[in-house]
Amino acid sequence: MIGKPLTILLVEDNPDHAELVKRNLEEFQVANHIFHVEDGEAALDYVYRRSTYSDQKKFSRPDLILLDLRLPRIDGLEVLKQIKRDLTLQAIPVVVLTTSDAEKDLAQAYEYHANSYVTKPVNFENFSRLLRDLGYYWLAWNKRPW
Amino acid sequence: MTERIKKESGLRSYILQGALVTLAILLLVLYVCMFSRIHQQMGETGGIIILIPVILSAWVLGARGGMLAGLIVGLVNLFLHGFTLQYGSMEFVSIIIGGIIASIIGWVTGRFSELRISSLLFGVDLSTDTRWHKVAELLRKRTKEMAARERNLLRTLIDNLPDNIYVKDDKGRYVINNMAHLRSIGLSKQEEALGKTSFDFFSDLLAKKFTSDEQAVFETGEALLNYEEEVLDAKTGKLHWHLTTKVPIKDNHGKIIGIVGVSRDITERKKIEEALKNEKAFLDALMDNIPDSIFFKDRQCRLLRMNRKEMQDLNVDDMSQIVGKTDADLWGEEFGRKTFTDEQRLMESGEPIIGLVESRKLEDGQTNWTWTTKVPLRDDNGQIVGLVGISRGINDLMKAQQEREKLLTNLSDSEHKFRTLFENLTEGVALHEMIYDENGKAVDYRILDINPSYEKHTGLLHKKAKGLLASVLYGTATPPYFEEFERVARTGVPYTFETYFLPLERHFRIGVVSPKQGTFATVFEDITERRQKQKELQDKNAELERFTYTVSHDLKSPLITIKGFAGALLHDVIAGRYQRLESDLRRIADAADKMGGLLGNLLELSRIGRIMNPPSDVNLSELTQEVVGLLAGTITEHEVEVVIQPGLPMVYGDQRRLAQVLQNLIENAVKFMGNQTNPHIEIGTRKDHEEQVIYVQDNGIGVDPRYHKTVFGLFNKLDTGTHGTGIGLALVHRIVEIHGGRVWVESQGKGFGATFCFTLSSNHSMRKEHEQ
Repeated sequence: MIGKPLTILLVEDNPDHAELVKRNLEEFQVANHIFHVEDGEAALDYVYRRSTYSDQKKFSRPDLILLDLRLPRIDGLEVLKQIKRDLTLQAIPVVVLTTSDAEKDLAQAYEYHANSYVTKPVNFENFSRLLRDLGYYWLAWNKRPW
Repeated sequence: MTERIKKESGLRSYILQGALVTLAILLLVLYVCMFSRIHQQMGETGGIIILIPVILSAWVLGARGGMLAGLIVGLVNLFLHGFTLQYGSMEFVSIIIGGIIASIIGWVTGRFSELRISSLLFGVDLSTDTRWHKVAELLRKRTKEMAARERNLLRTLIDNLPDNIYVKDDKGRYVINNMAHLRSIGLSKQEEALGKTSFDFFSDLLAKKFTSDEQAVFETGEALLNYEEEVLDAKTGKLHWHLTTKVPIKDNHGKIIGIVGVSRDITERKKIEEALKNEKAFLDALMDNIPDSIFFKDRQCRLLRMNRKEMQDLNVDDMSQIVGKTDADLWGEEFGRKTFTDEQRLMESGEPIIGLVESRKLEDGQTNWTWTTKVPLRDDNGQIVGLVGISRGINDLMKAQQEREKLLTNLSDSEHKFRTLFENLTEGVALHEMIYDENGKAVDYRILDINPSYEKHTGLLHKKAKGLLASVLYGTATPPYFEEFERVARTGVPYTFETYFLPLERHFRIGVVSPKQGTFATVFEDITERRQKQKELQDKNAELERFTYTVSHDLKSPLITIKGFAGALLHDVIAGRYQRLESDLRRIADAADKMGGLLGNLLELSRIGRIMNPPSDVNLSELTQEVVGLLAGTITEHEVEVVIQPGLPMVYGDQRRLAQVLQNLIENAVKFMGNQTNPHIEIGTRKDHEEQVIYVQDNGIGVDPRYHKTVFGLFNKLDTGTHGTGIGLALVHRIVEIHGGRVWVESQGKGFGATFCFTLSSNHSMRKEHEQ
């Protein structure tokens, strides 16, 4: 908030959900940029600045990644694993935001060092509050080394 | 030789000559006696007859003798007849003339004889001068020769006798020694011994003994016959035994003038006798002290002799009590008959009976067991004259054996039980022994036995595997599972593990136990099928999990959309913002539709497993054409060229579902054509390793190898941009699976097109499943 623009990378294959997330985040003005990608491959391309995301100025390093698990092409867990394995990327907080409340996914996500795991609330009010809290917590309250 | 014959024939001639003389005299006498009668009856012819004795006499006696005979005949004739005749008469004159003629004839004949004839006839010159002298000389010579010959003969005889023969005179001096005797006293010639005495050749002691023996013969005049004496051989220093005879020699007046000694070296015989005696003593000792019974029988199986043990067994003190008895006499009819048959056969064939176990019932009801060996006895000609038997009581042994047999029967029962178990176990069992090198380090193991299941599981035959080293049998440097087996064989701690055995491409569960140090048994079960089933089950579970997960996720997703936008809508309406109203409402409607679609698909998918249309023979060619016809609209819209290869097979299955498979694959192919300018789809069939594969090939965007598996998952979409729920390929997968086949995709990746392939199970199994 002190001059440096904050960037959220939203990885979500469902455009409707993405729209809902974006609206809420925008409403609470927690971030300067929200980049939305629809599959795991695109997410990795973004963080590694590959193919269409090679422009470093335009596609800045995300301060927070909101990651859905069920994604086309490359699964969300695989994306998580790769990010957390990479020394240059592992510091980026990754919050798993998913429809699934399967225990397997939960356990697997933490095994891959997810920073947080939340399921999308069906209730709109809750959905709204969650995203507001998430944004505030990770981008305002949470201290980052960069 | 020829001379001797001549001499002998000469001798014979003399004898013959004598006989002829005698005959002539006899004839002469006869003539004298008969003359008158002959004369009276035959007249002058009688004169001729009277010549016969004259000629004969002349022949024998020579000319003078012949003439004399003629004269005698004439005179006798005159004497007999002349006195009765008238002096000067014719008859008187004829008698006188007859006498003269007879004399002349006698002389002539005698002369002939003297000249040659006798030598021609008898081989001897019988001329009257030499005749008698020669005969006497010949006879003398002959007698001398004969005496010499006899002496020679005797000398040769005694020289060649093996016995020592010598003659001593009354002074004890040697007169005659034969060669054997000469040799025995160290001489070679008779002359060397002449005049010597025993003292010259023997020790004083011995010589004195000889002399005193001989003195006794001289004094008593009686011969010492065949007495044994010990003689020390002066040369070798060895003692010899002699059998000696000394006989006196008497002259015509009965005076003893010497003695003849004959002695024979019987040392060898003595030795043999001694040995025999010893042998007999040994044999007797053996016979009487051996704990076995020994007996001898004759050709009729009667006891001849036995040892003490046999006598004890028979409870007799004196052998004579049972000699001549048979087994039947001693042990009863039944036993006797049996042994008689055996023994007769033995003696006829010469085949011994060795180690025959026999039993006989005793009076007290006990059974007496014996172990008997019988061999034939032969005489010097090899004829079987009886038998010798040796027999041992083995009651204790038999008892022990019976107990052992009982034990063995029990053991064999249990062995049989285990063997049956071993043979019929469905698990493969193999018994092994560890092989150690010289340092005691285990290096290999050997297969001792395997059961039929082992053969079945491994395909290794018993006869091939048994006794083989594992490294050889399995063809590996280190035998399979060597480390594990070695540990069990060493520690005896059982061990069980599951493994994939690459050479056989099977999964095994192997239990290893060690019955004793250095050996081990492996019990193994082929769990390949179980593994497969397990894997299938795992796959199913995973799929089910994925399904519920997918369902919860994908059904929840539109719900979130609906509720989310409904909330946002409400929010906006309250806030008086209406610009997003329409789009939000459309999102809600779409999400609801999507949900409806998902539910429909799910229902469909669940039906596939549960509800089957009755299977039938399906002509895939026709079915494909039908499906392509159905999709004609989409196909033409995308300007896709569809080729159906000839030769699609007849299959057996659910026609509607199979149509769904083809429809989905063709639809997908059309859908994922991308920017292909010459879209092309080919439906055909090929054979992969005898498996009929049906494929739908396109030249569209292709499928990245990474997604070849996930593409068949439920609601998995590769591309969020395309329409569809992601259920199409899941459906295909399910239907093919139900038909016992497999489905997969072949594609080199993006831009290379894709070939979706599937197989269906053979008609037969499908039919069978349905019938069941």
